[in-house]
Amino acid sequence: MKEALMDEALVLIIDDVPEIVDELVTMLSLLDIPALGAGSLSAAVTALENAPALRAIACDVRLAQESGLEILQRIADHPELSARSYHFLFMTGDPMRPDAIHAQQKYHLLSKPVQPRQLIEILQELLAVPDTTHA
Amino acid sequence: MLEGIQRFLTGSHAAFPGRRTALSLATILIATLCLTPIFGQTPTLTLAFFFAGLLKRRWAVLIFAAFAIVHAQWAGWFQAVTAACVFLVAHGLRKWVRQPSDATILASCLTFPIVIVAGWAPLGEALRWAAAFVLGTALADLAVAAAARGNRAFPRDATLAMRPVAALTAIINTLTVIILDLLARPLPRPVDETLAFTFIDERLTLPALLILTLVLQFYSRQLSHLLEGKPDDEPTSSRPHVAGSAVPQVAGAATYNGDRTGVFAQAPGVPTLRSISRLSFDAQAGRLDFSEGTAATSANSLQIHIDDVSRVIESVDRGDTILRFQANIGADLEPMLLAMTGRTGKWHWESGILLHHNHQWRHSIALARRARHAELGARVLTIAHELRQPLCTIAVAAENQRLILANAAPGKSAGQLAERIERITEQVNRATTIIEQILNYGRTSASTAAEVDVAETLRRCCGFLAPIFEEHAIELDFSIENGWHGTIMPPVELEQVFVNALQNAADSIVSRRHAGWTEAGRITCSVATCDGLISCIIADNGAGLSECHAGSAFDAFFSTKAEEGTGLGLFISREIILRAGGKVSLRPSSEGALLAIQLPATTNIAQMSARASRIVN
Repeated sequence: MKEALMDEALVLIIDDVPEIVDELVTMLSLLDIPALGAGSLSAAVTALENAPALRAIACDVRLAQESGLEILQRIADHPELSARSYHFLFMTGDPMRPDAIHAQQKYHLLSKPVQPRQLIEILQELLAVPDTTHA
Repeated sequence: MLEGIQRFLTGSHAAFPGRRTALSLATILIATLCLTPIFGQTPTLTLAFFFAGLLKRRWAVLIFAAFAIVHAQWAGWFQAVTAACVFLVAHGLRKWVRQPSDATILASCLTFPIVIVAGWAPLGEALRWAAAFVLGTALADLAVAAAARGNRAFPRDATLAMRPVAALTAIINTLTVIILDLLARPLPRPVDETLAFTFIDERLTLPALLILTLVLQFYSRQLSHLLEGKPDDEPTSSRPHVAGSAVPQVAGAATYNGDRTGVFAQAPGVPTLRSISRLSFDAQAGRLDFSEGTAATSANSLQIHIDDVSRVIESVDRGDTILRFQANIGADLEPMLLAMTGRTGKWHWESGILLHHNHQWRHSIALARRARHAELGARVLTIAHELRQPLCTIAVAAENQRLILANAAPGKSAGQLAERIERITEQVNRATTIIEQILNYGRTSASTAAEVDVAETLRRCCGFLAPIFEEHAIELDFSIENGWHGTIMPPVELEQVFVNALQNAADSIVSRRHAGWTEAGRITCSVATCDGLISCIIADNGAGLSECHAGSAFDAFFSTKAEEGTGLGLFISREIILRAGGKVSLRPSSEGALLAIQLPATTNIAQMSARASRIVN
């Protein structure tokens, strides 16, 4: 079942708070949106490598000891992942941080506590965008 | 009447001689009375004087020379040298005595051996010796006062207080000598080798003898006071200052009795500047006893804070007249400024003014609270971030409940719902804990002293700042000795010290990183208890500090952070630690900086209760 989920997952949730990851993944599952969770950037890269169907990434800006925005560079530097197209959505509990303000200019940025329905709407919009690389 | 004369001379009971004075007088008198009958020569007396004390004064040589020249023209070289030696020894004794009032007494009493010298020399010549000696004493007092202006000899206030007393005494002694001279003038003046007692008995007239007896009695009463155990060099640990009004003492507690059982600052209408009298320091108990108002009814005492006792006692011993110390007043610790005058013994002063610094103290406490608020203000974004995490979980979990209820068949979703509800409850508790931590740290109510585990408090503070450490990738290393590391102090104050120290360590690491350093940041915390002291060290591998900065780090408004910080963190921390009876120091380490805190450990209930009563509540 886990391998099946890896193959089917469309959304990757990245947050250093396990409870948030669990609840978001559960919520997406209840809405029939297969999702995976990761607590760090390294775990996220591993998940991306193993889940080729992933198309959207919802990432917390302020992770335990790193910035969630670094996921952009990680993917850009990755030989395989850089060839794929991902949609990004960032979440933050500290919207006044400079990097959060910077991210808001290019990507969707939700402030915590996120409104679940707003999050779902954005993810659905992102997933509705035709995927050229995965075709 | 004699006591009236005494008060007239000294303005008080300040003329009670101390132990050194009594010893000097006894040495001189015994040497005079014992050696003279044996040798029967003036040099014997001089020699006895030399052995009676030590003389080490630079300017005394000049006085010696001037005195000898004047005397040589007056009475001859032999007498001049003898008188000068007497004077020098007298001065040496006065210096040795150190106490102005006692020195005056000593100088005065030295005139009597001079009078006795008349037993070997013509009376007129002996009297001139005495008169010259008295004048020399007055001159010496003036010289000492002049030297003291530059703080080269005596404490300024003490010497200035001595001057009028010495002048009065010199005048009285001179008049006594003149009267004796006038009375004895009709008598024949052969050079007589008979003993002093015989001479006085046979040659002096009755009025002169009466005057001499009265004056001798005056000084003998002072000596009797000494023998009766009146104020002296020894600290008085058990002597009540006023009969029938013994001061109640409670170990380590405030002892401010009488009708002033309350606290200076908290009793409405109580003045902060108060005139007190009959001051007495109990060096062993670290207590100041004094009287206020009518002496018979208002004996009071102040318990000097344990941190200040040694310093205050040293100052009193040195003769300082202005003291700063903290006193335990009720449950509070209050700063005091004491100005004293009229020293009556090593540990005794006639009167003084006690200035209560309660306002400054309260400002200090208010400053500490505001500093906590400032720190909280600086951390508001971090706090908000911390609170958003459980709120986010709750929001999503609630939405999940709605989805489960909407999608699932009745009766089949109970497990999932229960899981969501449990999670929401957990997150609510987490948010509540965060809020309580914030409120505890920022609360303005009076902190209560209690037994607190230093190690546990340090851990809790690390948890409080965990988001900051995580944000900056700072590792925490704990090295905590097993066991209980308890001390007595307000927990919130200890938290403030640790939070400030940890925050400084984190800031130092971030600062080093800004300078290009890329290594892992690390803060090492260690706690150990040994020999009744809890040693707590917080070390970091940050930017460190210079020796110069380490010396100034505890000054108010000192900060190495260009745009951040109030410069009060370490200043307040030091006050807190000192108030708890501990010590704190900051020094460079091999990697960064090291903050060392020492606190007294509570090893038994008795110690805990005694200390708890001394610490601010």
